[in-house]
Amino acid sequence: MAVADFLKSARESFWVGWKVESNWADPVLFATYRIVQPLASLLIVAFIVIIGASTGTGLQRDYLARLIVSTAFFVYVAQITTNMGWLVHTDRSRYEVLKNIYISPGTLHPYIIGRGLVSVVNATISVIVTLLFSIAVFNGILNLGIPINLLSVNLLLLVPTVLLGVSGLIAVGYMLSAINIVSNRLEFILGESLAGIFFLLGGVIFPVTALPSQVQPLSAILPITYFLDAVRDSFGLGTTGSALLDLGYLFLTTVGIGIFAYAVYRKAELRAKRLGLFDRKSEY
Amino acid sequence: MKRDISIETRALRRVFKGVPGAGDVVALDSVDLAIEEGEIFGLLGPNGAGKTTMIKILATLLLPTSGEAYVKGLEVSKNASKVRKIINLVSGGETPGYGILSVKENLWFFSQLYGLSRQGANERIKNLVTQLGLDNYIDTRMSKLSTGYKQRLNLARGFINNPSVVFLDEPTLGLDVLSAKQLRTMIKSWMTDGTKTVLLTTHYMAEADEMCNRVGIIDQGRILACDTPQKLKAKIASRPSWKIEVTPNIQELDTLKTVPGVIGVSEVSNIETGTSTLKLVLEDESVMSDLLSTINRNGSRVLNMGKSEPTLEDVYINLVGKGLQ
Ligand SMILES: Nc1ncnc2c1ncn2[C@@H]1O[C@H](COP(=O)(O)OP(=O)(O)O)[C@@H](O)[C@H]1O
Ligand SMILES: [Mg+2]
Repeated sequence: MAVADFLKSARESFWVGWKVESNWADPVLFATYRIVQPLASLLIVAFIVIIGASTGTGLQRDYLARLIVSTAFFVYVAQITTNMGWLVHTDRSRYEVLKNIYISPGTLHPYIIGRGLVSVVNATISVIVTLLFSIAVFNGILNLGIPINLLSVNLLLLVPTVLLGVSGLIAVGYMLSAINIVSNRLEFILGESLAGIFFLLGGVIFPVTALPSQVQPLSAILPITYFLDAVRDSFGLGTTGSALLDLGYLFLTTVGIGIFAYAVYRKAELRAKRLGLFDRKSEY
Repeated sequence: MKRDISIETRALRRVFKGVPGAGDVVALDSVDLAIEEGEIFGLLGPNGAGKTTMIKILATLLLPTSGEAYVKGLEVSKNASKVRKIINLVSGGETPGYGILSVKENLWFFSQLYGLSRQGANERIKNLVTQLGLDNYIDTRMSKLSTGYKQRLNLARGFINNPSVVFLDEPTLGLDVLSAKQLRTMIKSWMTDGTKTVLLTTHYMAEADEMCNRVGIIDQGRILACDTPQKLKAKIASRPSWKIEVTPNIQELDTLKTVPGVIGVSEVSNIETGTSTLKLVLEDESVMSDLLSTINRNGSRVLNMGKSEPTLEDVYINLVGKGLQ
């Protein structure tokens, strides 16, 4: 498929997804969805502040700053994995379009990417809202003096970090789509569970080095770990020493997960063609 | 003049794993077909005959167990991406599309999956929408359309890329009479330039008879006969086919089938009038007296009887021994 045709299909899939997923028909639902995530992040931080106060360790401002930034950018992980985890299910069973998309020249590739980008845009809005919201509450209202300075963010680092980070997450979405094509009923848990695992392994609340040594290798191969590291670096809150090294690792693990996701997709595609699954209706 | 072959299968076979305990299902059993460019070819057969399986293989959705399938000379499992550019598929009874999007937006989406230019897409959408009587609904959300109109939209989508080969899997399934008629007209008008090919499946005799240049009769994965509707009917014209109306409407078809010389029987019963119309294909007329006495012994009375013009249904009864219900 020519690049121009691929982009055309992806762009149109994006617009369709934008209209379908954003649920403009129900602005209340839409707003709620965009605000739930920031609120959840806020609660995590508030909870830790309270624990800190009650155990007498006092306010660890640097730690809280890292926490606010990490939870805010983790919204990318949560939303992209969760949304993309549902894509195949709704479009196969509810909208009955999956097989028709599959038999078009680009098959599912431009479509999955286009739809993934919808989650990226939506998540970006949530990330910004979360960040501003947290700063407003903890520094504005509660006046805790947490050291986050939006004006001194290193954009030269943050922009490539976010680009690589969301690419890796779209790869995860690819993998979830592939699994959903061939498996039954996993879409209800897969996306959310994965987001939960990423939350623990990605070093959001506590550093990766605090994880049990058995699971540390898992963290080490996840792009999400380096994504959050590099994001904190861009905010001047890094703990790993070298921002460039974090970015390098992010690049390598993103390429790795991209290749892995593609392999999973090809395997699932073959299986679906063997068993005739592209037009399967759900059994529930 | 010999035309080019558009669709071809060679010893095409597809076996599905059965549910645990039951045996495997042979959905297609060594099917050889050759459909020419410019043809509307009908695959006629009952539920479970293997029609959808055939179409799914040709439309790159399913791999065969063995054998080969070609579209425009391209083997579909090896050249899927080339095949996809020139085909499209409409499955009757499905209403693919996003409810929140309008008719136009849905069609636009699919036009872009095929890389149509802005102008090309707008023109095609306009034409299709007009041909299928959707003009007044072009900006209507799909979710607001009746089932019939959703199916028209599905058809429009199936022609959005101006495919050279279209697969229509029971396209009029559940369609109202008017929509079905409009669909048939549309397909015929689309066929006029002679370069397009349609493979249509149906279990409606009349549809196959009216629409198709040639019909393949399929049952349990095998093509039992394949010819023009006229020739298929001519082949059995020597065998009388009878219509007998009886009352009450309970017939034991199995006992009728055991009468020597009876090739096949089908029955349409009318609950309101308490009568049944039997359709029988007999070896010759001498069978009739035995048959009538059997009907009497079953406790029924003959109201009406006569010879009938052979229809595709008779062909089917001839081949399969039962009606197509
Ligand atoms: N994906 C599948 N898995 C298992 N069996 C299938 C599958 N698809 C079709 N079959 C079986 O194959 C046979 C032919 O089915 P199908 O091609 O859908 O028939 P038709 O379209 O003529 O009604 C049926 O017995 C059906 O149950
Ligand atoms: Mg079928």
